Amino acid sequence: MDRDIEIITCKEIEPLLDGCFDGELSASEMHTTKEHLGQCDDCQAKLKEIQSVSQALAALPKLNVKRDLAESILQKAQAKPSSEKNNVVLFKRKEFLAVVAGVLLIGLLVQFLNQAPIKVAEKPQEIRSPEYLSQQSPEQIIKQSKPAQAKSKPAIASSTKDLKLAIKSNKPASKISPVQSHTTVEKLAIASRGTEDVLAFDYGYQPNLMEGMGIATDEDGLYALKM
Amino acid sequence: MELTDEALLESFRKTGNSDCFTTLVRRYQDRLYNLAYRVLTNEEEAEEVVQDTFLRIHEGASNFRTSNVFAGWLFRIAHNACLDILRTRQKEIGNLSFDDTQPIRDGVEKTRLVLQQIADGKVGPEENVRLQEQAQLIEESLKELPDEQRVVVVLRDVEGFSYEEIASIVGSSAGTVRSRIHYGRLKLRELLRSYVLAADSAPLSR
Repeated sequence: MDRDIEIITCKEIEPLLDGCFDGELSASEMHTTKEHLGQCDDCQAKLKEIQSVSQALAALPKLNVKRDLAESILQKAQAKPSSEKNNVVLFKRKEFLAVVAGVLLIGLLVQFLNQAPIKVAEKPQEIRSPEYLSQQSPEQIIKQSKPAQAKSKPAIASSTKDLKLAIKSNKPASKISPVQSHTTVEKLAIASRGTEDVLAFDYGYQPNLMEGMGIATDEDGLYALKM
Repeated sequence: MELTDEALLESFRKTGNSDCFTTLVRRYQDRLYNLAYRVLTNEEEAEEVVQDTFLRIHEGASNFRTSNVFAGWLFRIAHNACLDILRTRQKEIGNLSFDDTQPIRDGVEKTRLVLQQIADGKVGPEENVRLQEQAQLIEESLKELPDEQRVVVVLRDVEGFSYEEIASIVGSSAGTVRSRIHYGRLKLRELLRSYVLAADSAPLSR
């Protein structure tokens, strides 16, 4: 047999020798290994070493535990679930607290949202026809409209339509310009009367509120609407 | 008739009969201790592994599938417990020593010296003494193997598991197990060669 080929074959076979000794090779590997062993004294010696080492390991004295551990393990095992049970309860309590905290948080959030400054006019402004207005003097018109205004605060969202718009656009009703809510009839009234009276007709006379609504006063005390 | 491991565990799981559990402990505690000691070479840690393993079995009895082999599951848990201790040791050694390889090199040299003394016939001739020395030498040599090789060699040659069973226990392929067994035994052959060759005419007793 060629020496080089034999060396290569031994290198290939050597990793299989342990499997061969243990009977853990496939049929083809076992066949190849046995065929090689039949011709190679070196590999036979290695196999014998493997056998000796394996037998020496198996011959090591069997060590035993110094005491029976069964009872002590059982006691520990039985003691453990109770502590785990407490942990579970504690965990459930934590969960419960987390849920309660979440509910409270949601409640606060809802309350906060409900406090958004949307104020609804108690009663929409009564719209009167131009014919009716022409029959009434401005003083009468003011007189008729004031009691209603006195009951309610200045109408920020002064009509149902404006309120719906505010809700739909998710925009505070206060952002809607009061001027936009005037009906044509009211605008006519504004045009036909002194500024202060007309404003009183529409909102009641409240100077601070006027400024907040974009109505400025000049040096002469006259009001001007910023359209 | 003695119940199988799986039947005992099933009975314990269904009825909570602690006798079934303690029977399993008594059936395996020595084998587990033996394995753990061979891997860890420390009595206290070996006992700790036995206790931890059975505690986990007790806790996880409901997770055991009856189609599995109880011993495989048991030794897998024990193997993992051993690995945990070895890892802790590695960390401690890493923290304490700048040269981790020094103790290993010292151990190898010591083993070689003892082997040479035995081969030279300087140790007592009595058979009893020889067997004790043999066991001590093999244990010392076993310590020199890397952990992953030592575990599979012990599982194979001391506990007698098949490659497939070992693969399941250590969580690797049968090919890896075969390779580790090969290199583990190769190193043992190198360490024990002079002794094995000296005792060639009188093979090591099993």
